[in-house]
Amino acid sequence: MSAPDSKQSYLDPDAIARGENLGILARTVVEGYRVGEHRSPYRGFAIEFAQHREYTVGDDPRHLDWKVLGRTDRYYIKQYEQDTNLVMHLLVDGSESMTYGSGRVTKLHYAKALAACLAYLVLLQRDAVSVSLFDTTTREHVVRTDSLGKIHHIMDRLAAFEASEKTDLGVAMEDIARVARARGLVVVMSDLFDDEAGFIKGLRQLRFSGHEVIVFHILDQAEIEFVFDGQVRFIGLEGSPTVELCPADIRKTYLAEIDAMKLRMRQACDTTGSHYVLANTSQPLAEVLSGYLVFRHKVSAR
Amino acid sequence: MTFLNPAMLFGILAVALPIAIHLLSRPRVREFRWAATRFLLASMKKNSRRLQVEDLLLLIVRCLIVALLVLLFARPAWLISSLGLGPRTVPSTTVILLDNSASMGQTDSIRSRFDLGKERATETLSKLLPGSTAALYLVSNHTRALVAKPTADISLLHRQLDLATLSDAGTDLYTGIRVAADVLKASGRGECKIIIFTDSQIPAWGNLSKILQLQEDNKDKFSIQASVLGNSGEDNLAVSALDMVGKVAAVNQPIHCSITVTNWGRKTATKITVKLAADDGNPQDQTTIEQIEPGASRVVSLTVRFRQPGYHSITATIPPDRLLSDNQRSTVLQVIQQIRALVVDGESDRDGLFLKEALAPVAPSKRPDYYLKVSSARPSELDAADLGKNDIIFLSNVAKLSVRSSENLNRYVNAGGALVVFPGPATDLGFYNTDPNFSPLLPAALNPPVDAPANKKYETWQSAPYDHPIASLWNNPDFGSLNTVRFTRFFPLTPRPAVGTNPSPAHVVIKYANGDPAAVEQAVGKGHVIVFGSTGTTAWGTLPIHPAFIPLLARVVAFATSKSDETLNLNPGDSFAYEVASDDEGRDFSIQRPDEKNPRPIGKVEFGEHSGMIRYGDTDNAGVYRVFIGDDATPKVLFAVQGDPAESNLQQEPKAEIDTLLNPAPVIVHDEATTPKADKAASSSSAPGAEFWLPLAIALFALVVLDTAMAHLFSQAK
Repeated sequence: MSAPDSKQSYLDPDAIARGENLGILARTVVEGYRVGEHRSPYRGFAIEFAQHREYTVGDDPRHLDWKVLGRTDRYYIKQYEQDTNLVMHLLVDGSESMTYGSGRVTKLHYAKALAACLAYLVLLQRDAVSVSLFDTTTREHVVRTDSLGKIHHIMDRLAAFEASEKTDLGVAMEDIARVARARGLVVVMSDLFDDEAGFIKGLRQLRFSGHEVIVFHILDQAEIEFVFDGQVRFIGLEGSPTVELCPADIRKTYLAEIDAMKLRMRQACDTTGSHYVLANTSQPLAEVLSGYLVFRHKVSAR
Repeated sequence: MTFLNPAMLFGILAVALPIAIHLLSRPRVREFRWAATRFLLASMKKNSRRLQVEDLLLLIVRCLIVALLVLLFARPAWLISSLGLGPRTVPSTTVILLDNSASMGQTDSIRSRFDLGKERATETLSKLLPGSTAALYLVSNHTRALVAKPTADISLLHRQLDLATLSDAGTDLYTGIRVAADVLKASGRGECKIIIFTDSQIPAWGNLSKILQLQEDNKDKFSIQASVLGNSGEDNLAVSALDMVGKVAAVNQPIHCSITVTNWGRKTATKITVKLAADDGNPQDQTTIEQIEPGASRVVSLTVRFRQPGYHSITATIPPDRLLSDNQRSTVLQVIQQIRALVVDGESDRDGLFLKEALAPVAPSKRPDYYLKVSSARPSELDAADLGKNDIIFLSNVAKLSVRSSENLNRYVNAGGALVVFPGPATDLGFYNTDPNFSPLLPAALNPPVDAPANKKYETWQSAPYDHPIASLWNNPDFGSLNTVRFTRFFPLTPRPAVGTNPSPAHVVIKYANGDPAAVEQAVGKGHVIVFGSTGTTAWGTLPIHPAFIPLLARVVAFATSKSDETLNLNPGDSFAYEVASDDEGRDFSIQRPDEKNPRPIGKVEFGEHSGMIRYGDTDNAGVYRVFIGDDATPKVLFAVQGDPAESNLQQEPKAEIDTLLNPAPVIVHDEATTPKADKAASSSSAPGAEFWLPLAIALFALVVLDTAMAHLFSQAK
């Protein structure tokens, strides 16, 4: 993935190409108003027959299955399955901790690129997308749109965003749960260096609201492997203290702490029925995205 | 515990170094902005105590390493108390004296006493504790340092001991012990002792009282310990003397040598063949002694001849026994072509008659071939005579000389001529004692003549022993005695002191029975003068008709004309000095030693005022030494080194006499130089003992290994 020099750099051609082939499929049913590729939670009276059920008072008599009534003298209503569209809510962590990058790519840039690619793919298949950039609160919000032409607007907003504050991931997730009326797909892109309890609470609220949640846990390679030598002074971000130490002295302990945190996040996602994807910024975006989409395609096809 | 090098303890301040490095070192720090700080903090919280403990452990270990290093350099040692507390073994300073006198060459058919002494000394060195020092000396009647100052380099001592060689010198242990005492006083540390490895010959302890006194005076400083080698009174036959009887060695003339063989053993020796050889050739003469009783000596007379003038050697040998060095004895002599003697008759021809006859005691027909050519003259003829043509001049009953004659005679003597004076009735005492040219030549002033005591009617010469070489022949009763020479009248002699032109003192050749000098000799200038107290005729005595007259004159001639016999025959250890022509100055000279087949280069002939000088000092071994100058094939001069006859007596000093040396009490000497001042009050009863650097070194090594392991372990990622 190239370094961020313009908004266009957020769209990774390789990632887009792979994503285009696979498509973005909602793993669970989503509700919508347009015919699309996604199964609707509503059983109605459309083209695809779904099932019969007994007539109850209030049902539209137009939906009675007359053939069954003629043969059995029983009142059954014919139900049909209706395709509907997907609404993807992209939540990008815009806190200061996301500005760290041991290489040329920061976690924030990686998250913005991931968000842009996903937005483009969703819009490309005529689904809707909304984007929120947050730290302690929602700092930028692109309202739901299903127009592919809006992708430039989305990228402009992503590019213009500068991180500076602390994170409160739980508040941002609660905001989405409250605002999004239609159930959809919520994609959280964050390093999750936040209050874990708040994150898990937000995760539960989203799930309670019927949203499917995918958590892209974005970490830098240095944060995962902690390969430093000599004496190092770590200047803390988001108001954390500055620490001077010999990394070799604590490396094992640090790696255990990081692994434990990743495990907790994964377990929280598993518990709430959410997807957890660990994204190492040193990996190409296309690899991370296509890997996840392949996995998702298989799951949705069942 | 004490320290042999306490000044190094100031180095303990270096312990502050690791602490200072720990506190002051600022390693290069790199800075990074970091998001996951809370994980760092959590990790640090978990590891901080462990890291502190690790740092502290490393600091302690490194401080200990520095401290141990300082302790090692300070050389800690156990303190030995006089109460016997502490370790029993202490490092010591030992001076080893190894007797290398001739008697140490006695073998037990396998190895010599000297070899045994070297073995014992080697064992002693091997048993020295770490930190101990030792010096090594060879002792005989002189002391030679192999390792002069005490050293802890035991391998050097072993090497020097291996290279040590036997000498043929006599023994006097006192000189060596005194040298060793001086060494210990200057450099002794810890327990100090002198260990002597000797065969304990009686002559070795000739100064036993001085040795015991030295030990008593220094009993708080060092002990003296003797280790006796060999057994007392082992059998030994020796050639104890080799003398020329006639003392004049001339070409083609038989040279009579008296050879003394002594049996120092406890059994009677029988059938001893004595051989006499010239210049290392085959024996020219030999005889067999039937038997020699224990402790007795036998003198035999053998003859050799030389066909060429120059320096020659004579060697007498007996069958070899267990002490080889005294089974042969050599002497070097200068063989001359002829000697020219001038007899000056004082008043008449008869005054020199006996002298002329005695000087050439052969038939008139054989006198042309006889080595001693005698001529005669009257005092008046000395005025114009070329006295330098004569080797020796006899004055017999000469009243006085003219001024010119006396001046002539003075020049002759100072130039190297020999003069023998027999006064007589005509002698003018005033001239003899006051003439400015003649009187300084005389070794004794002549007093007015006296008659023999009336009760005795005559005075005789003394009986044996005779000290002077001229008369020493008659120490052997086989050659008769001089005490039968009688005089009815004589000039009492007053020997002159060594003054002015006569730097050498006058020596009494022989005395009268009453003890007064009867003949006196003195070196004058380059010559020699002998004056007798009575006549060379029968006017006042029987000397001219005594059997000893002819050999006495021969010895007088030989003694007065020989300028080098004494310098050609040395004792072991003496320096050889020989004048050579100035043409040889600066040339290389080499010496063939008795035990070597080829000459070895020694140095260059020294430059002198009038002539060159050859000097050589390594004369420890008996035998004939040949001196070559440049590439000359024939030796310029020979000299002989003769061993001390006393070395042949293998009788040992009774052990009771040297009991304190055989069982010495250990002596601990406190090292003043290394005693801290604060401890000096208590130091009178204690001394530094064994150093324990080895455990400290092991501990230091272990700490270094521990430090390395800990540093490696602690640097692993955690």
